[in-house]
Amino acid sequence: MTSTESALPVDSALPADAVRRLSEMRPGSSTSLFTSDLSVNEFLLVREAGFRPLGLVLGSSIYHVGFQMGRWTKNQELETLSQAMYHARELAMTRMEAEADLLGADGIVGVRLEIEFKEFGSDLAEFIAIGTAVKADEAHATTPGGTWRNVHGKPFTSDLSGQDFWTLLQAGYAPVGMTMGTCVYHVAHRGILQTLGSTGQNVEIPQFTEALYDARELAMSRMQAEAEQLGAEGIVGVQLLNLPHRWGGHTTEFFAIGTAVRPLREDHTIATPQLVLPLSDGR
Amino acid sequence: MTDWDGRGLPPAVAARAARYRPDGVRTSLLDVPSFVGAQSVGLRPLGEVMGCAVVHLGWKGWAGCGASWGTGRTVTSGSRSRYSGYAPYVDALRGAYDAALARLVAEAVAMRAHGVVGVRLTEQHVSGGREFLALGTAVRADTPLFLERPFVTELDGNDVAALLHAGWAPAAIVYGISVGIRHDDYRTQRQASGWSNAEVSGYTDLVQQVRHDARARFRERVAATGADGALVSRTTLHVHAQEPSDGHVDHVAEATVFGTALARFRTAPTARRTLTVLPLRRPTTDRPTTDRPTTDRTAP
Repeated sequence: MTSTESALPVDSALPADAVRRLSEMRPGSSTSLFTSDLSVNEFLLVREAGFRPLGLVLGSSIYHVGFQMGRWTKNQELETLSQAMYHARELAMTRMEAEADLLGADGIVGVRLEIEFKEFGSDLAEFIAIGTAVKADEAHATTPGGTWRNVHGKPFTSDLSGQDFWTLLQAGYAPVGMTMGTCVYHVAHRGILQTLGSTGQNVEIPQFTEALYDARELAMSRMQAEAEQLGAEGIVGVQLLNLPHRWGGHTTEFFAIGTAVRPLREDHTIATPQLVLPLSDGR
Repeated sequence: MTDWDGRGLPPAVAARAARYRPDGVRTSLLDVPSFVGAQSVGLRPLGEVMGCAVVHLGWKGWAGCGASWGTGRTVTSGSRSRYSGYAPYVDALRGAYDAALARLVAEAVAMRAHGVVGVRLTEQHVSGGREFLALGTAVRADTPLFLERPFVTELDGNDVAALLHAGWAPAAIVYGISVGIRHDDYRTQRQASGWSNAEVSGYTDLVQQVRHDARARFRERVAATGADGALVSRTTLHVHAQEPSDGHVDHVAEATVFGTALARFRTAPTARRTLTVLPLRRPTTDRPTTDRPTTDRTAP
């Protein structure tokens, strides 16, 4: 390496230590082996926040979603389908939580909740919940209010990224659980006369607007109700999704999901972030 | 072209190693941030290294479901019973990935490298077989220490740098693969059809068991390296139906878990605090937007 290249502060002692450790590796020497699907930065931040990853936890359910016909000209929730989406997600989440419980975890971070309709059967979907079970270090094994687990004595769940999780804890909040609300809604078709009536005009279609308002309101209020049950102060990182799945243009799942949080202390300030101008785009 | 017998490395590799030595030209597959990241912890890129194996997978094992009548049960390749269906297939897959990685490592050792970063491990169908390919950049630390087996990781230069700063060393690429099969019994058929909501317990059991087995194999491999843990980079699951005889349907699921094993090399890490920064650029839209693109915006 020439001298011009080493303008960067280079810590060459680090790799030497690492090389030494790698040369000493023996099979099965570790007593507590962890696995996690966090990225490197997320993993390091979760460690810095005082949590140890225990293992990758996963729950899955392959579900046959039933059938319900919406009335052609009516705005309505399709309860059978809403129930299916609730039930199947619940099954996946519960199984994931059970795995975390077995590991003795305080919580599960970086949870992804996914639905994948399968090619090998009609109306078959796999509901998957996957995340990293974590345990708090001894130094702060308890919170000011008691334990890290939620009011039901179960590990907390959070779909926040490792970065968001770190920031949340810095700001004096703790996640209590993922909350969600779903509503599968059938938006009415318009009759031929109504369609003809607005031909060549720019007008609002109140019927459609109202349907979308109703459906979102149902999804959001259900999510809020779940947060109230967990005794949360609020919900962060909320996503409000329209998931059409495979039900055609007029039937859509409105899905609200977020992480309910509770305060750990009175003040909620974090260090003012430094402004940086990155030399690379995107990422 | 010579007739290579499959042992050691193909003759072309020797030519590459010979070319690498005299002129000292260094090549790398890293992008600029990754290159700078690697250099910041004193890892100098030496050159790109490759490992490749093309195999023909002709024998998948006795692909029966264990029960063609009555109640179905899931049989995974990891169960190692006389019904462990696809075990020869899974062994062959693992063997092919192992061969590709071993060849990559052999090239790195020839360069006296300490590690290989940014490895892309891919698999694709080529005429008459499947190609398993590992492609990465060999790096060397400024230390006279020699590593019999250099570390290998899918992580790029900046991730490796972040890990080393926090006292973690990437050790090896590990993977767990499992294939399971299950007969569609009467109960499964009934649950998977009709108008009502129902969990299909047979299929659920199949994917849960296959995923579980893949994760268990992954853990075994991590433990076998002597590392302290592993970061998973990707997990996959594929399910397909097959009909060995009329009216007899089985489902086959294949699950994989890939990742990098990590070794802790310092008991007391440096008290390096994370600095909060706010990048001055357009926010990335990594969260799904709430708007569903239902209409085309093309001009009429």
